[in-house]
Amino acid sequence: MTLNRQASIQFIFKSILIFCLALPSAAQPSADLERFRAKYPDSFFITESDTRDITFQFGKNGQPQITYTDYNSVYVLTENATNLSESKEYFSSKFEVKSLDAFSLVPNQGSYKKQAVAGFTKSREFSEGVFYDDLYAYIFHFPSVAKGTRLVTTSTTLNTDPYFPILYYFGNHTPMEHVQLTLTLPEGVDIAYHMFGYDTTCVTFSKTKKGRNIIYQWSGSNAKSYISDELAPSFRYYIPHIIINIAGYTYNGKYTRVVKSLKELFDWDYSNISRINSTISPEIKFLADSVCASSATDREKVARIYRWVQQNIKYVAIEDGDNGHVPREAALVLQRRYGDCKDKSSLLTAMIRAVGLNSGLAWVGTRDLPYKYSVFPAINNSNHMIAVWWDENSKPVLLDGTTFFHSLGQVPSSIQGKQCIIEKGAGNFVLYDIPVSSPSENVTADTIWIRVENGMLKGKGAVVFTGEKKPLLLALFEGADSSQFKNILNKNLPKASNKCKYTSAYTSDLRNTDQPLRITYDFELPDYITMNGNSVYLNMNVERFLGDVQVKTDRWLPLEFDEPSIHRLVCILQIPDNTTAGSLPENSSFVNPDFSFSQQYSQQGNTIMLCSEITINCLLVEGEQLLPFASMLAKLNKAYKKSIVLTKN
Amino acid sequence: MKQLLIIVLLSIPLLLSAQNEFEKYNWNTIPAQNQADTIKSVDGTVVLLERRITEVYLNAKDIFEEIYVFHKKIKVESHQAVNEQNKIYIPVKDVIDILKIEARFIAPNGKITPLKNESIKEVENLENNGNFKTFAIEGAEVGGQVEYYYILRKKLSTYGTVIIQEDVPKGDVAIIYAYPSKLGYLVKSYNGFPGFSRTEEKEKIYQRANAGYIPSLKSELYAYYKANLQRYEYTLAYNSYASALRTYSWAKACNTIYENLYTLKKNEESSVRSWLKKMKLSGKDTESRIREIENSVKSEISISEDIQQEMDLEDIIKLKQSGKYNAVRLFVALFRAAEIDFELVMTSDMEITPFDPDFNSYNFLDEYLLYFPSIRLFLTPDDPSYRLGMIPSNYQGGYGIFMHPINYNEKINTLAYDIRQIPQATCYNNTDSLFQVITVDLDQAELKAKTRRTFYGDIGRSFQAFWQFTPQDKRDDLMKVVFNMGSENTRIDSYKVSNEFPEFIGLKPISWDVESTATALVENAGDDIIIKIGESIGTQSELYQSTTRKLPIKIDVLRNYYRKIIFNIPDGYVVTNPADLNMYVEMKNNGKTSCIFTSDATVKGGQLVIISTEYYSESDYPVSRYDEFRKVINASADYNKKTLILKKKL
Repeated sequence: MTLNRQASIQFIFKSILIFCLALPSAAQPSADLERFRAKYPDSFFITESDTRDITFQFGKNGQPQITYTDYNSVYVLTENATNLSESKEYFSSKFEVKSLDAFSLVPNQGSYKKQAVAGFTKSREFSEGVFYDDLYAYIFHFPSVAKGTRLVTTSTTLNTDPYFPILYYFGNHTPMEHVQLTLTLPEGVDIAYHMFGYDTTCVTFSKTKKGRNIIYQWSGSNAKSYISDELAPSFRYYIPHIIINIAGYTYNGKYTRVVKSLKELFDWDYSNISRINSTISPEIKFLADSVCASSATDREKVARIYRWVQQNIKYVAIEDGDNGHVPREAALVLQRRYGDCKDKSSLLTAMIRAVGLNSGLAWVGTRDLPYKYSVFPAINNSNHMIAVWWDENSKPVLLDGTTFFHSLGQVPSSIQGKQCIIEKGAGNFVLYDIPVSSPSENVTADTIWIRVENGMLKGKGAVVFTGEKKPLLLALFEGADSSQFKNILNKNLPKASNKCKYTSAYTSDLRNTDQPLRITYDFELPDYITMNGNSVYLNMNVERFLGDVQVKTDRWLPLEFDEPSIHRLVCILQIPDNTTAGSLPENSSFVNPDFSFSQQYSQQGNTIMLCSEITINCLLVEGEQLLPFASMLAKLNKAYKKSIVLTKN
Repeated sequence: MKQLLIIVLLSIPLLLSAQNEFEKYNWNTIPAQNQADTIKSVDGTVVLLERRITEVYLNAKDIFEEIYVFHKKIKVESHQAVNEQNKIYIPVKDVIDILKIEARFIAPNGKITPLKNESIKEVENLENNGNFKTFAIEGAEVGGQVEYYYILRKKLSTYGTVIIQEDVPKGDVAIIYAYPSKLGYLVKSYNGFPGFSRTEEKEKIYQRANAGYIPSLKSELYAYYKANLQRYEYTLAYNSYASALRTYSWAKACNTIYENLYTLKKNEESSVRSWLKKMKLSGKDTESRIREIENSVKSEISISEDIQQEMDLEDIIKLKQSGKYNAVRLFVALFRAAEIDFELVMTSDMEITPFDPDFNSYNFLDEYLLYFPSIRLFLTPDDPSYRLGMIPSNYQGGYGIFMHPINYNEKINTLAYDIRQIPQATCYNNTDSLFQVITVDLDQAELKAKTRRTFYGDIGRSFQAFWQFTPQDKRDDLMKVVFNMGSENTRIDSYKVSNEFPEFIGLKPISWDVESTATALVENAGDDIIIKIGESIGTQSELYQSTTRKLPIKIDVLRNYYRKIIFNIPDGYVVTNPADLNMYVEMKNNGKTSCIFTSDATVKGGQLVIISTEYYSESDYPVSRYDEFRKVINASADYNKKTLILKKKL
C-alpha cells in the first residue's frame, strides 16, 4: 500500500484542520494541561477531539463516493503514560483507506512539536468465533508519549456503497471534550437518521445551507466515561450514537431511492439471496426425502431436517467480501458440510422446500444490537440469518441453524424480543416480532434430600433443566466421558461451598434431546455445617442463585439476563433420630412483575422442607426497575443467611 | 535472539546432487503403523499419525534451504472434536514456496472428500503473527478422520524447539532430519520423547525419532505445563563447508552479541552520553545510579515487542519509543557510559523451555537480564513492570549464560561467558501481611472491617507496576477482588494506598488501609448468630477437586503470609467455639518445614484474636507428593469455611 506518499498529502490538509481546532491554546501547552487537569481530575487521558467529516460526491457513472475524514486527538494527563503509545486503527474491507496518518504533538518550549509515527503494520484481525473475516487493523506506536502530549490519528476512507449506513458514537471509555459529526451533502441527497443510547442530550444538531450543499452537524461534549459492569448489555444500549441512512439521491435529474423505508431495506436484502437456490439439486432432494422418510406429519419432517442440519453441518464462518451478505448455494453447503448462519439457513430452506413445504430466509439482529426494523430500518440492524418454516396454520416457525440442541419451536434466547424480516419472494416480506419466552419455559428445578452424616452434610439430588440451559448442558455432556460429568455439574450447578464434591452423576438419555434433561446425583459438602457441642448449625440454602450478583447503589447501567427463567430449589432435610430442630427461619418473598422470589420452610414429622423459587420475567432490568431489583437482591441475600439449629436430646 | 541471527550461511560453492528426497512426499511415503487405531480418544480426538520431516539442501545459489513436510491424521469422535479440528491454519512465515497442500476427510464409511485447491485462503499477517494459509475440511462428520499434509520450501531454520505432546493422545509419530554429511545437527529429546538415531547414506545424514504412543497431557494448577510436554530441541552445530569449528554455540553467540549489543555508532554514543548527563547521578552510590537510569528509561520510553522499526539509539532517545531488543541495547550503552560494571545474562522461559546447561546452542538464549555483581542484583531491561532486584519468576532458578566484555589485545573485543544458575527469590522476599479489626453491626447483620494490608516483593510489584495506569473505576473493581470477604458481597467503604508507584518496585512495599463492609457473613439461627469469620481474609485458592495428578508441582512465586485478625465480640454475647479456628497443616521436606498453614485463636477480654501464618519455601515437588501439598494449599480455603457461633450471655 502506498501509504506514506498519501499520508504526506494528507498532512497538508490535516495540518490546517489541527490548527483550527487547537488554535485557542496551540501555543500554550502548560495552559492546556492545567485546564484539562482541572476539568478531568480523575482521568489519565481524555479524547480531546473526535470528529468525522463526511462528504458525498458522484463518481464517473453517478456512483456515490462517500468520503470519511476522521480526526482523533487524545490528550495525555499523566506521567508514566508510556503504555498509551501502542495504538490500533480498525478498518472494514468495505472501505478503501485513502490515507492514514498519526503523530504526537509534543510540548516543546511553549508550543507543540510534531513527531510522526514511524510506521504502520497491517494486521488481519479475527472477530471471536469467526474463521475468516475481512476486518483488518493498522498497528502503530506514538512517539514521545508523556504528560501534555497530544496523540493524533487521522484517516480518510472511501465508501462507494450508499446502502452502508453511517455510524458514529458520541461517547467512549474516556471523557470526550469535543465530538462532532458533519455531513456535507449536495442538494438532492436525502438522509434518514436515528439516535440511540441513553441520554443523547450531550449532542446538539444543526442543519445549514452553504452554497449548493446542505450541512448536517451533530456536535457536543460528553464527559462521561462509559465502562461496562457485570451483567451489563452491549455498549450499544447506552452509549449515545447515531445511525444515518442515505435515503436517496438525485443524479442527472433522476432520483434513486436507497434506504428510505423498510421496503428498500428488504429489497436490498432480497437482492443478496435472489440468485441462490433457484433449483433444488437431486442430492438435496434425495437427502431431504431420506431424512424425512416415514415422518407422520409436516412438523416431524421439519424437525428432522432441522436436527440433521444442526448436527451435520459444522459452523465455520468465512466472512469474505460479499459473503458477508450472500448465502452460499445449498448444494455447496451440503457438499462441504460446513457453513455460517446464512449457509445453514440456505440449506435448511432448500431441504424444507424439497419436501414440498413452505420456507423462507429471514434476517435478524441478535440481542447485542438494540435496534428494531420498525423503529429505524438499516443494514446494520441485521447480523444473523435464520430459516423460517410456515407451518400448517401459516404461522412462522424459526429455525436457527447455528444452534446444536435446540428443538423445533425453541427460539434461541439470543434473538428473542427482536424482530426479523422474513422473505416471501421478491418484493414480499413479513416483519415478525420474535416473542420472548416465558420464565416457565426455562426452568432449573433441583430437588435435594440432605442429611447430616458423621459431622458432614451429604445429599442426593435430582435436577431437571428445560429451555436454554438444556442445550447448553447437552453440548457439555456430548462426547464427555462419564467421569467428567461430576466436573460439569460442579461448574453448572454450583453449591454454596467451593468444597462441594459430587460423588456420582447420571443423566437421562442424552440422545433424547426433545425431553427435559434430568440429572440425578450424590454430593457432599465438607465443612459446610458447624458443629457446636450438641448442636449442628445448618443452612438449607445449599444453592444460592443470584447470591453473587451485586448492584452498586449508583448503578445506572441496565442488567441483562440471558433469558427469563425460574430457578427452583426444594431442599428436604432429614432430622436425625433423637434430635430436635430449633425454630424454622421466617418465610420470605419479594414480588415485582419482572422479578420475584419466595422462600418457604415447613416441617412434617422429622423432615424440614425449604421451597425456594426465583423468577426472572424480563431480559433487561433498567431505569426505575434497578432500585427494586437491588431491594430484591438484598432481601434474597438476607433469606440466604438463615440457618437451623439441630440439637441432640 | 532473532535480531542476532540474521546471518547468511556462507558456503563454498559445491554442487550436491540436487535431488530432494521429500519434495515429492505423498500420503503413503511413510506408511502408517496401524496400532494407533487402538488408542482411546480424549475429548473425542486421537491423532492417528504425525510426520515432521526437515530436509536441508544447498540451492542453486549455494544457499541452504529446507524442504519441510508436516503430515497429520486426526480421528474425530464427537461434534465438538469435528468443530475443533476442521479449521486448519498453516503458518507461512519464512516460507519461500508452498510446494503442496493436500487435505481430505475420510468418512466412517471410507468415503474420501478431498479438499479443493480454491478452498485454501491466504490470510495476511494474522493478528500480527505473519501470513497464514487456511482452510476448513469439507465433508467432515463424527467418526471420521481429518488428514492433511503440506510441503514447504523454507529458509533454513538453524535452531529451534518442537513440542510434540498435546492435550490429545497421539500414536505413530515420526520425525526425520535429513541433511548433507558436511553439516552437523544436534537434536535432543526431553520429557520422555524418544531419542534420535543417526544413520548415514550417500553423503546424507538422517536423524530419526519414532514414538508409537504419546499420551494426552492437560494443564494443571501449580505446574509449568509446557515445560513438561514431550519435545525436542535441535540446532545446527557444524558447517564443514565454512569451518571445522562449532557454530551456533555459546562462544559464537558471545561474538555476535558483542557486535550487535555493545558496539555503538558515533551519533548513538553522543546521544547516550548527553541523556545520561541530564540524569541526576552524581554523588550517588551504584545502586541509586542504576535505579535512576532504570527509572528514566522505563518511565519515559515506551517499550513494546511490536516496535520493530530499525531505529538507532539516537532515534530511540529522541522519539521515546523502542522495541524490546533495542531497550536492552540502550541499557547496555547507558550502563557502559556510566561506567557501571554489569554482566549481560541470557536465559529462557522456564515455563516452556528450561535452559539446559548441557545443550550448547542458541536455543535457550531468549530473554535478557543484566546482573550487577557489586550489589548482586538483577535487572530486567525490556519489561517496564520490573525494577532492579526483581525479575520475572519464570526466569528464576533456571540457568543462564552470564557474559562480560574482555579484550584479547588492543583491538579485538568480545564477551567471555560462564553458565550459572539465576537465584530464586525466597518466600521472605514476597510477603503479604494483613492486620484486620472486625466489628459486628447486629442491626444490619453486617461485618465492618478495618484492614491494613501490605505487599512486599513480587506480590507488591504486580500492583505497583499497573496501579497508576488503572482508571478509577477499574481500581475500585480491583479493590473488590483483593479485599473481598466471601463471594463478592463486600462493599469497599474507603481506602488509602501508599507506595503505589513503579519506582517503588522492590524498594518499598505497597500498602492499603481499607474500610469495608461484608454483607453476607452474618447469619442467624434462632437467637444465635453465626459469623463466617473465615471469609474475612478473602477467598483462598484451592485444589479441592480430586483428579489424578500428572504434572510435577511448581510454585512460581514463593510467598509468605502473616494475618492477624481482631474480632470485637458484641456486647452481651459469647463466642462458643474459638477452638474451631485452630489449625496446623504442615508439609515437611527432609525433616524441615517446606510449606505450612497455621491459625490460632484466643479470647482476650472482649476480643477474639486470630493469628495465622502461611508460607511456601520450596518451589518444586514431585507428583508423588501432590496429596501432602494439596492439604496445605487447601488449608487456607478450609479456613474460609470457619464460623463462629455467638450465643447470648446467660
